[in-house]
Amino acid sequence: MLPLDVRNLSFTYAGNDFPSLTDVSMKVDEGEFVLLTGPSGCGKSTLCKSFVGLVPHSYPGKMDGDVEVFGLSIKERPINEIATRAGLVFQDPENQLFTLSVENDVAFGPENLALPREEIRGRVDWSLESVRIQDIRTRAPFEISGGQQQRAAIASVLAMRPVLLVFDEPTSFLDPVSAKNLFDLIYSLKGQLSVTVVLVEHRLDLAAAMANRIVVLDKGRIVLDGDPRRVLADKLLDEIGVGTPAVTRLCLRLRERGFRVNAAIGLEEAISEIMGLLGGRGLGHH
Amino acid sequence: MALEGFRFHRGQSFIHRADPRTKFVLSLAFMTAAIVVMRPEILVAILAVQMLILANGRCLRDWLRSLKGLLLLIALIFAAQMLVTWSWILAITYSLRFIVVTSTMSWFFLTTSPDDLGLSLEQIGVPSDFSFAFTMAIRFVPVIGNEFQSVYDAQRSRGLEMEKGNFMQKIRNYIPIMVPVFVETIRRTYEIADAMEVRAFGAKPKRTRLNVLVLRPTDWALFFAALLLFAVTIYYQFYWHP
Amino acid sequence: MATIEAVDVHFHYGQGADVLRGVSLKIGPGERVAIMGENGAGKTTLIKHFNGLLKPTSGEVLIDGVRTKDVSVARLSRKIGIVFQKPENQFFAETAEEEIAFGLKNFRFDEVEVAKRVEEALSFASLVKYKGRSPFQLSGGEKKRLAIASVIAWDPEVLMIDEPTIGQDMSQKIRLSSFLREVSAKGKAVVLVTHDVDFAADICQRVILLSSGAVIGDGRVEEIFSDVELMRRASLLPPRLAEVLRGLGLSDFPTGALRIDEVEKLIEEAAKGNDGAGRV
Repeated sequence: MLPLDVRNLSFTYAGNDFPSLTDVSMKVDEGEFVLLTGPSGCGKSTLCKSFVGLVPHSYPGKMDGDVEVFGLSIKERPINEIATRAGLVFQDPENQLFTLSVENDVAFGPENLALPREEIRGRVDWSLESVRIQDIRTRAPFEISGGQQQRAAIASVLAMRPVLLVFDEPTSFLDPVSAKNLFDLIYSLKGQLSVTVVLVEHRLDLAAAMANRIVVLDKGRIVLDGDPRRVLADKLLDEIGVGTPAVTRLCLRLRERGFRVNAAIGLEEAISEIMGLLGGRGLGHH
Repeated sequence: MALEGFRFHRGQSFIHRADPRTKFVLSLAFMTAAIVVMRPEILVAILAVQMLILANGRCLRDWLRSLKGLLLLIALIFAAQMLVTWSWILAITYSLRFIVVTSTMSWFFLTTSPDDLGLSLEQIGVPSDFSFAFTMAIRFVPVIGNEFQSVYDAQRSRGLEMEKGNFMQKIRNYIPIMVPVFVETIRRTYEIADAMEVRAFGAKPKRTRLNVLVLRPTDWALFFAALLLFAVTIYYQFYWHP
Repeated sequence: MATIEAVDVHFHYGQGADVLRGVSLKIGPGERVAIMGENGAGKTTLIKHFNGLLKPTSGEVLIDGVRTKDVSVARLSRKIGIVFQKPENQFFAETAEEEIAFGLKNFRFDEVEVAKRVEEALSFASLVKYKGRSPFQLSGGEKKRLAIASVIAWDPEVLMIDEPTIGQDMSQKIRLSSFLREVSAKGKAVVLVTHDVDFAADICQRVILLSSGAVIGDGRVEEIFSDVELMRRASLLPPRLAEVLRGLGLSDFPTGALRIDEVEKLIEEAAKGNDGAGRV
């Protein structure tokens, strides 16, 4: 059973005359780390919402095709059932924390499932530990930083014990260092918990190195899907307005000029590739 | 500024740790006493007890700040009574009554966490949806307050001058402030609803709670103290004729 | 064109601690400056002083030599245009056109001027086809452009934008970048409060780093971005290209070194010295 099986999904929000998604198909295997990206308005958020059933249940509209999350059809099953398999972390941490203490927020999900108190306590402790925020468990949202709030939001979703974790631009409101820390956390969570991850991001610079697969959307359709190196080297990215990471772009431009460099992902790779063509001598000596 | 005197501050004092339900009964006792009693000296005594409570909770300063904000209202009440009855005693009594009632609400909200308040409502039988909505409203009030400030700043930066113009113009000046806040708040509720759905809100008719409020012996003691206070006040007001 | 000056500015809200601690700086016409620092460093608080929304609790802020304490916010805003972070915090009109007209009417432009400037602003921001549309129907990027258009419509002498690139994709950033260059070419100062080091590296000449309310760095963008320790203190990651250059052994960055064409050139020059050993 695949964590995620999107089959010819098309969706038009009620009241719109153009579809937000057209004939989207993708299969995600267990343990994958998929980076989902695309220009503004390409349908990434709508797609994420379909992974948890918010589309079509909370957002009425015309839907064709289906999405199956571990065999559960989002068309047929209610959101609260899908929520035990798939979790979605949104952009704005403020609107994901409803109570006045982190602990209560993390307990919120399990409380809704009417689990026995001991089980709730266990899940809360485990979630807080996983994202390393035990020390702020009694704090209120306004007493903690944006990065900590987002971690609390992640913990509250983890408490549902999902096996598919979806993040919709989770670092939008964070400064660069907090963003990097959050990415590191997501990456380590994936290793620790053996979950499947789908991350929607604009800032490919930091995120591209973590993924084993990149899916690119444009105007509601999938236009690229595959190995990160292959996708990032594709000229289509520039045409549709997605920014290739600076280091990858540099390598590609050098390659175009005739140098023997591969499209590198991430800083270390780029440096070693370029060092290669400089004969190991670097730049400081000329 | 007046509202600051009612905002919850974390603490470990006796009054902070008392059960919200007990505190509620206690404040009810104070408020009823304040309304029933007509003798200013009793009201002063009640006020003194409240100040002890506030001192225990280390919130005297916040309470004083709230009084400062309500000074105008207190003065109005005093003046109104003077005009109507020409009696100093009555004016003082009514002003004191107002101060006692607001002080009751003050220590109650200053020392009771909204989460616990919502929990106590749930435990006395209020449907969980309502108590949850109550807690959430309190949690988001400061957020919306900040939003107002941001909108106000943005519109002033576009040349909006709130004080300019006649009465009608002044009213119209509020539209560029109210509309964005309103729209943002509605949009925010959609996002909050999404986040709640993703956490399986509504999955089961009755939620289990991680933390439960349990009445301890000290709470019962406080409860009886409240009843005692009430009884003594009534006796002193109606039966004691020195 | 206006000059902005801050002289030992301290600021705190109510009873709180100082949010700005002794900030002094000067920004002149035509400059393109980035004000950067961690969340809570005081960046937004600082720019709110420049149009008088906030007044220093000690020290002075002078616009063209006049103290902001002596002038109204409306008059200062006419000169210093600020676009705040969330466009949604200011949209209230029924059409994009009315949204742009709002500021113009507040600043008492006559009807003919208003109509003319609305058209110009709409076309400058490529929003002409949205003239009669509701601002709430626009996409995130379009909203940002509309917010900027409503400020440039009244032609302030300084344009300040708080977080210009949040939520914008690459093509929108490129468009914004060339637009800001046009603005500064007219002699206006452009001040950006941003976290986006790559954007700042691309378009700004000068960076002012704030940390915990104090200025910890103020200089050429290449200088500031090559100081790793300084950047770390301000919770910023250096631009990726700067990291590449450093990884390749370069520690002194010449002007413009952070732009990709320059980096490419530097590497090519170095590779030539290698007798084309790396060529395919």
